[in-house]
Amino acid sequence: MRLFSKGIKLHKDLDIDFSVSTQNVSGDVYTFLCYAGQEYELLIKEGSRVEKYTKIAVADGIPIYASVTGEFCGVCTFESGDVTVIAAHIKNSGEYTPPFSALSHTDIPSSPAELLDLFKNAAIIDTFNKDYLCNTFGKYLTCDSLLLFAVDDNPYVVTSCAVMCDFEEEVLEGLSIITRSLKIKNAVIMMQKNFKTAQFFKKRYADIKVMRATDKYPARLNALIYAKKNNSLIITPETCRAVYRAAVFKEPCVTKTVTVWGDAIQKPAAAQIPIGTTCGELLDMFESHTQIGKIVANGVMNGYLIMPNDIITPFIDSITVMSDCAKMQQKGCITCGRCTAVCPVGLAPYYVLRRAAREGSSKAYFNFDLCLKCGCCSYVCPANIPLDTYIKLYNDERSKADAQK
Amino acid sequence: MHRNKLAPYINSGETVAQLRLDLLFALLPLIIIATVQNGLRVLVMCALAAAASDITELLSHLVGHKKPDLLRAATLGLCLTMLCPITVPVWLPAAGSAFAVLFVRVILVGDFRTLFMHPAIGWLFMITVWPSYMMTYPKTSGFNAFPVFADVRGFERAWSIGQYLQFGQKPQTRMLDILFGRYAGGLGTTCIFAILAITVFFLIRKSIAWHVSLSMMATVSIFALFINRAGVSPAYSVVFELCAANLIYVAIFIASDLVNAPKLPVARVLFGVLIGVFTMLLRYFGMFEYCVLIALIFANLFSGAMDRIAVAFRSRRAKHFNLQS
Repeated sequence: MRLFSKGIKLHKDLDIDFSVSTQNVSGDVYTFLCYAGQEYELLIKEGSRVEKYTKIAVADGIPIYASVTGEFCGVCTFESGDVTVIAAHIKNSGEYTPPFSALSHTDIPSSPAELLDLFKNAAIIDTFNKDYLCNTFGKYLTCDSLLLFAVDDNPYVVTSCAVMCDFEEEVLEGLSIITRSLKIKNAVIMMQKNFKTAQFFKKRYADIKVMRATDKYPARLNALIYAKKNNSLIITPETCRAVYRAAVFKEPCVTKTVTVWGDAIQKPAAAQIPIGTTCGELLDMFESHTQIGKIVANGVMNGYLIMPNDIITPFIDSITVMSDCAKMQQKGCITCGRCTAVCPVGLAPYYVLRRAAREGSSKAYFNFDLCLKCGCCSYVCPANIPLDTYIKLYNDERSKADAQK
Repeated sequence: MHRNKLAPYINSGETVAQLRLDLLFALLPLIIIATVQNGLRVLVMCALAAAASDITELLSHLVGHKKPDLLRAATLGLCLTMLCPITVPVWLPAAGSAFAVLFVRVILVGDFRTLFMHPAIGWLFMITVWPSYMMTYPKTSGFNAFPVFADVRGFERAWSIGQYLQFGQKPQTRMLDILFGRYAGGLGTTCIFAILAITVFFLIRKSIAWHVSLSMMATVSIFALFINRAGVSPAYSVVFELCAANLIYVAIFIASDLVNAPKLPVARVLFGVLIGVFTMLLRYFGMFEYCVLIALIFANLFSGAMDRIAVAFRSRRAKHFNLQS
């Protein structure tokens, strides 16, 4: 099935060990509570001892669990990209806390209401939409099928592939729990280069359809187009696994699988760490063979820069550590049309921006909302013009103008 | 560590200079072949043209215009030199190049700077002011030794393929000669084998808007199949029409320039078809054989409109990607 033809082929070497290593951290952990501006209520007092998996706060109606055992030292704020994050500082005691039944349900969910309860109580993260699963639950009630998106969208990210390969049974059981609860008959696994694994799944689970995504960036577009055509809901392996562990082991979602890759890292890998681990501590687990230039969260194509003292929030899938810190010099547009040739959704960034600059964003030919912010146009631009950033700016300008009307 | 850099944090590694160098690099084989066939005079012409366009580029910068792009200017000079016969005075390509740079950099403003193909401007200037030099070709043999600096006088003249076709005669050129450039024509425009090899290089490097070249040559070929001017077989008619008056060279090196060609594939195809149609109409109904560059300049006037049509077409088609709803 041909989903989209443009986009760019990026060097994406997936020949790494797909096993996910579970890492115990020894340093302090800053458990993510919410973003600045959101309401939260602390359930513990400063200085008190907290056990891993115990409920420490409720933020925007979602319970927050301690991701390590230790002493609660108070609430602090962090910058993460362009947002401010509020986190609970837990002084890690380093004690091993075995998984215990932190959640109160008795049976595996079998109805939509029970499933929603599970999503909410276990604070399961929708890693595709970067939100909590209970917040996006409305879409589950109206969809016809589920699309398990076991493809990683960005280069140097293998989180989904690794979780899919390493925890295949847990992932598929989680998927099964969701489909049974929602009475959804169809489920499709979308895979990319690790297609052999997909064939294995296909043989083992004959009722699950496996399809291959176009081998181009942005891989996410494959899922979005398929989902739109088939009224499907996209879910990732990590989310499915979290559902399985919450339903069967009654374990809330307190860990995150993060890919650590980049030219400054000697052995790239996927690591499962407690939510709230500092980026610096995560990097200490990996050997870097050169000076670190920049750290990018959520992929080099459309992610954002973080610092070593920033925390791993539930919405960070990958850390790319780059040695290069040189700034690319922006030059004037030579109107080569490279950006137009690669735009996966068929926009003409050069033309759109030229018209927008001349006549204002409201008179531009295209609806800027079509832009996926994938960064393909900026990637290929020989003049290093951040075209997608300009489109974002015009989009904001246009939204403001619309709001004023 | 930097915090404020915006995504993406990697790029393809391609730079504007590389794009320019691709064209320069692609011109080198043609210069070498022309030098082997015609002697050191070719190198002198190339050096003078490149120097003249670079000096004019610098001068135009001094009078307050855009940042000088010496690579592009030098490429323009070389590209224009390849269009000239070997018998033109050595200063003539330099004059044409200087005029093209001056016209584009100083006289044209804003979007008009990228509207016209720059070598076409220079060529139009040269053929208008010195038509007798530009339309006279010497008879070719394996190696022609021409004076390096002095004007060429008293040489044996030959008709180009275009001139044969203009008068409805069958060109006296064998296919092998066409392939290896042993026929009357511009300096670097006759060796079809070399141009095709360079095209492969361009396609690998994605340095040209191939849609333009392909649609332009396809249009000319279709015309040639149905209207046979030389009274030869349709296949020969196609070959002669394509090789007449530097058409293949113009299609690959000038018309498909990424900067001046329309940006969208549909617009590029339309652009190529328009050049092909204009060229063939001018060949059949006009008196002037060297009309491909005139057709190119004429088509340039419509390239903006073609882009607009293609953009409107795209905006309708892109709606199925509207994934927000």
